[in-house]
Amino acid sequence: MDSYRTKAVESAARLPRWKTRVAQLSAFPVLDRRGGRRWVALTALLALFSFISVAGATAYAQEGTTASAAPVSEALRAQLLKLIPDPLPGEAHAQGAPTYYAANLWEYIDGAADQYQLYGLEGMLHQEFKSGKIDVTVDIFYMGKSENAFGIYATERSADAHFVAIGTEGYQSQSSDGSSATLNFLLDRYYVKLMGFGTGSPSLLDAFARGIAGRIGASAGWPELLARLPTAQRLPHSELYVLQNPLGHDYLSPAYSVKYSTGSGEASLVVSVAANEAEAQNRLGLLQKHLQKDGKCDDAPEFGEHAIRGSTSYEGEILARATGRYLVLMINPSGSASEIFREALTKLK
Amino acid sequence: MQKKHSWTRRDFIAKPAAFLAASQLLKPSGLLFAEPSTPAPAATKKIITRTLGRTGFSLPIVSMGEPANDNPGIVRRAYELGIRHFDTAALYQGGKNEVLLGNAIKDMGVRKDVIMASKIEVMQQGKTVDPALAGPQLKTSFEAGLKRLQTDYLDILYLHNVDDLSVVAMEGLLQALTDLKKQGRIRAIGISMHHAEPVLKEVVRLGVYDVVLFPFNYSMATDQGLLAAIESAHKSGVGIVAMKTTAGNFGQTGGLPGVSRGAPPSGPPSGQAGGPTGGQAGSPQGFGPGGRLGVSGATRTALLKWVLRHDMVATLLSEFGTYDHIEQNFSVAYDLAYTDDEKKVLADKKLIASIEFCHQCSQCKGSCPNGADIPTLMRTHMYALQYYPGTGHPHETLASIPAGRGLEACSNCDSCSASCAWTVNIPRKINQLQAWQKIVQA
Repeated sequence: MDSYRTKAVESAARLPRWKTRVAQLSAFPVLDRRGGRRWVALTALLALFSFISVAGATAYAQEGTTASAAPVSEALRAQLLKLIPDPLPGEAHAQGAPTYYAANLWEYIDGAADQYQLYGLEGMLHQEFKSGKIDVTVDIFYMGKSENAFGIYATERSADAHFVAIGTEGYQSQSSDGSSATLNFLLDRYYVKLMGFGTGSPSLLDAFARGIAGRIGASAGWPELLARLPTAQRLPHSELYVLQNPLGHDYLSPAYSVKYSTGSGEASLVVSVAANEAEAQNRLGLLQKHLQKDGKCDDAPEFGEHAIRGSTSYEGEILARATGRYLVLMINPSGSASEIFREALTKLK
Repeated sequence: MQKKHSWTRRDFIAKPAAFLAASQLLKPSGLLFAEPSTPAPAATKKIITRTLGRTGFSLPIVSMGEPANDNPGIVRRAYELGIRHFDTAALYQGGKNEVLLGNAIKDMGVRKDVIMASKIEVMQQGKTVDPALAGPQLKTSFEAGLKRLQTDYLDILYLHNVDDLSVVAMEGLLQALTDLKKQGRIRAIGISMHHAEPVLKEVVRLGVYDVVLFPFNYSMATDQGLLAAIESAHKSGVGIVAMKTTAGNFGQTGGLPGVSRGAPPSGPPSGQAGGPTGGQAGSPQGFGPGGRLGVSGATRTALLKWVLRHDMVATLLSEFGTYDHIEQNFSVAYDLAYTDDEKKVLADKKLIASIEFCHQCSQCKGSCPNGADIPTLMRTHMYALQYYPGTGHPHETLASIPAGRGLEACSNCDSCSASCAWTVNIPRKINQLQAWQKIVQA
């Protein structure tokens, strides 16, 4: 018997009987064969009990509130309120108290709320102001994570918008007579949307936006993965972060996509981010299965091991290959798209 | 000599074994027991179509709502399968959703074969609309929408999310809509809402709107007022389009399956098949596996069929996150008979009981010895812990209860004896509300 077990047995011998049993069961599992099995059984029972306790507590908590229905906390409200510029631009004054939204955002923007919830909205401040004859609405969405803020911002921006250098990026639109305007911008974990009604609203919104951006104070930046993707021939402002069901397939979630001009049209590079290499391979297998079921799929060895080329009538042609934890796809791989695909695979290795 | 087709003992053992081995080898390649790529309707079955009220549009009973984000493949696949009615709105993704739909329809070259519907918000995100400007602003927004959709007319133009009866009947808006219809820019005038019953009555009275769009799902099964209003609208020639037909998007309502994001129904929970439902207990919170809808296939199709078994509903809008969703949801367009699994879903009383949606029937009032205003307390609970957490709504609702009949009435009792005629656990909700009050007052 080794010294560890000797000491364990000797210690157990000096204890009351019930403590001896516990000591035996909690001792090194190979103390003896029966003790080892009982140790495993006790450990399993403890694990089961812990699981039940946690599950029960979770279920009880979910009866009242869940993460998705959690109120906008006082701390977050204070955080959002601090972003309102002080002093207010244009000698504006607040119209009423701010309103905070979370799971009930649909009351404010109906079906459009779905996207915000999808991207993990944690809280939103809505406040109206008046400056002379100009009405301003400020909506500040706190998305919790910078990539989520980018995600919701990118779903709404159009490539042909009038972009402004506010925050990480912003865009503005105004009516032809300048009597109304909107300005949306992204910065860190915030997506800020401003609306103005009244002559002079575009410049007032600009002042509000810069004031809010200054108070957010974070440094501007894009999601890190986008910087690793090919930049040549990239269509400006085409980047997206799709949190759910990219390309209509839930197993590809989440994914980044970028569009490229390929000389013979447009192609989309999609990078599905898996937890690890095995999961990325699994996603490739599922995609292959889908293509075989609904269309056709062949190996594409010219792009490396396990690369595939397939198509369906409704998705068009797709190239795909896993590299590390990423499943990389190229949709409509015409013209120079194949080279862009290869470059992406290299950069993501 | 062995007779032809007779099996020896060796054959009897070897052949089935060989078959099993082959099936395992061939199965992954899809060569054996391959599933069809589209749901295979029975040879005699066709897509069920209905006429959308006085518009005369003949539509498949399943339509597409809010096309998936930046994926035209979803629109193409929906069209391939037989969907012919596509719905969007100017508000979705800041107008990009209209662009997506417009591009997809144009690329397929099928504009004349489909019904395109869109919506314009006239409340300007909560701001009261100025009657003098409503009509001109609507027309301006309409032109911008046509451009995004790449079409020169819309089949249905809705006023988006209007529950305010004064806006429903606003002359400037009605005139603008009527003008657009006379000019052929729109073929039908529509209105979408969440508080359907009062709006439907006003729609019937006005006689201007051709189509209505509102949440309608299994959780409203015994809402007799709503059902009567729908019937009345249908009989008056208004086309009925249902949305939120799987009782809301699970995970957005505090984790309570089956709770519609629309206005609470005004009737008690259903007695039909045990009561209202909308999904399985324990449905994923938020947007977990299974996509945004987060419900099983049989649950989803059961709920869709329940809606469509009301002949007065011409079609429903279904949101498709994945290609699988499209195929599954559209399968109900061939056959509305319940499968055995779907019957089980609709008969699941545990699921129904888990919903505990207070329908404000007030039958509980007499069960409290202290005269507490239970319906308003239940509504406060819903606002505080489900719909409007973190806002002033629950506080305002609680404050509206006359003195002595709010939570202070509950403090006199060691345990709550109030009872609900349906499925609401009043004592538990009162306890939760008391706990909430302590937190917010701290």
